[in-house]
Amino acid sequence: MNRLYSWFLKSLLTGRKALSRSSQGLWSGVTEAVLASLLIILGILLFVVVVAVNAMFSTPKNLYMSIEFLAMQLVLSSAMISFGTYLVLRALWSVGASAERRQALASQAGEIELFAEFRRQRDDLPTVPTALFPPVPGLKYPYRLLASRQSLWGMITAGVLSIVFAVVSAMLVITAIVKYIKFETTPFTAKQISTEQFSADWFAGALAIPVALVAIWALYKFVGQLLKLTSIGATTVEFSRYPLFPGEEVEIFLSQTARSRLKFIDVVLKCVEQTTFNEGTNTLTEQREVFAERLFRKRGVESSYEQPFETMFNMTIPEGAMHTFSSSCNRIVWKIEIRSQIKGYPEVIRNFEFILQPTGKALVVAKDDQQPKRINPAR
Amino acid sequence: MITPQVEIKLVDDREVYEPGDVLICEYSVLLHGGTNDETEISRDISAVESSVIWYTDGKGDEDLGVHFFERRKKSTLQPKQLAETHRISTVLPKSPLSYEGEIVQVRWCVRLRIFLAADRQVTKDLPFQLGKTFPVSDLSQETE
Repeated sequence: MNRLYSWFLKSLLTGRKALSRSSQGLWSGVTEAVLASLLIILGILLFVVVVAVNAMFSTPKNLYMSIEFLAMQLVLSSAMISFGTYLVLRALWSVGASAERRQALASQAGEIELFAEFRRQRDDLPTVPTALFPPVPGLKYPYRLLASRQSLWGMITAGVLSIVFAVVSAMLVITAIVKYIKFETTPFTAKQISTEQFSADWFAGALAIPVALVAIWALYKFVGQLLKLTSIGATTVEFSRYPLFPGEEVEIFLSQTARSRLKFIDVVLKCVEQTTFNEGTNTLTEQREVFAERLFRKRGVESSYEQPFETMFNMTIPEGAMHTFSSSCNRIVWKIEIRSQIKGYPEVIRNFEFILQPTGKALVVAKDDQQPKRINPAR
Repeated sequence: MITPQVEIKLVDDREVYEPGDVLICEYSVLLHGGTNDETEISRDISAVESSVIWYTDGKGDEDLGVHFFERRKKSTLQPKQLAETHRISTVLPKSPLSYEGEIVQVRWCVRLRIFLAADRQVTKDLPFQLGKTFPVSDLSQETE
């Protein structure tokens, strides 16, 4: 079910078939056809039932359903029929037109938009997501980068999951206990309880165990993320210029607050390739670090909330480096990764992604000894 | 079954272009098959599409972007016109540049697609490079 949902979401958002190339022709076609047919049939059925029931049971003075409920049902059925039809038409279109023609028409359709400035930027640098990671004004340097929110969202998700599963397991336990107590304390009633009802109590109790285990696991993750977020305070990264181009040097200001003395702080410039692909019916994402250059490292860093650790250093983007790239299934990401740790707490990794724009000019090939070197960012 | 042959070439015969350069490409469809009846072969051709595209290669699913697209319909395709050299030209964009990564590659090509009867297609790609980005192995030399 999860796989079907994953395919459906990806298909809906990207207009691509989220299955492996080898099985695209069969499984994605079958799934899309089944989904489209189900939507159309269910939509028609809903429409017919709603109209028929209202026609049969309504009187001239009194409608069988309230107007709001009737309208909602009609809108829902129309939406199901329309979306199903759209899927069918899209499938037919994908069979009848070449990939280039479809893409060309999609590009033309994209021209009809209100935000001319965004369109101009997009047209100027296709596949470079210039609007992503916009910096905010900094204090030391003009451009302050914003940290990736992945860890925060992970913590929120884990927290919500733990609460939901804890509530469900508690309800199951209460159900089991209440019925057990009722069975134990009212023997006369107990005699009237059938074996099926009695076994149902144990079923609720047994179901509570895995649900509680999931709640504990989610709570463990939540606490771990919380510790990571609270042990190290705010990390500030500011650039002297933005956006960046290959071959350019930029001055960086780093500020790090912490609960107590840091064991170490390590700053690494990284380029990561990310790709999404399909294996069977699973959609997988793989990322590979293809470039890493240490910018700064220090052991035993004195820092507190009142007196943050501050430093400045330079960063040079390698000449001839590939620019930031983003398409439906492939990404090339440039980021500054900052690792730090307080004794007794887990290591904290914060990522600051930034946009590297293409030079747009002919590059002079650097000599071997001028090439940037890769380092092993040892902890 | 007769399959038309395609001749396609870049006018300035370059392999590497820079963003903003004008790419000029010429192609012609040769109507030589098992028969000399050119009219019969051209009757089978329903459309000819030429495009300048980028696409991704590597481990991930393929993404494709169309920078230039032209479709010549059957009504405009006479046997004589098909055999004649047809020229397309476009100003190349600033991105995406060609890239040879470990799991992501970005490639550019001129693609010619001929639509034939019975849902048959003939496709020919002419690759070229946009910009110069160094391969990852050049940038990432192990020192430790």
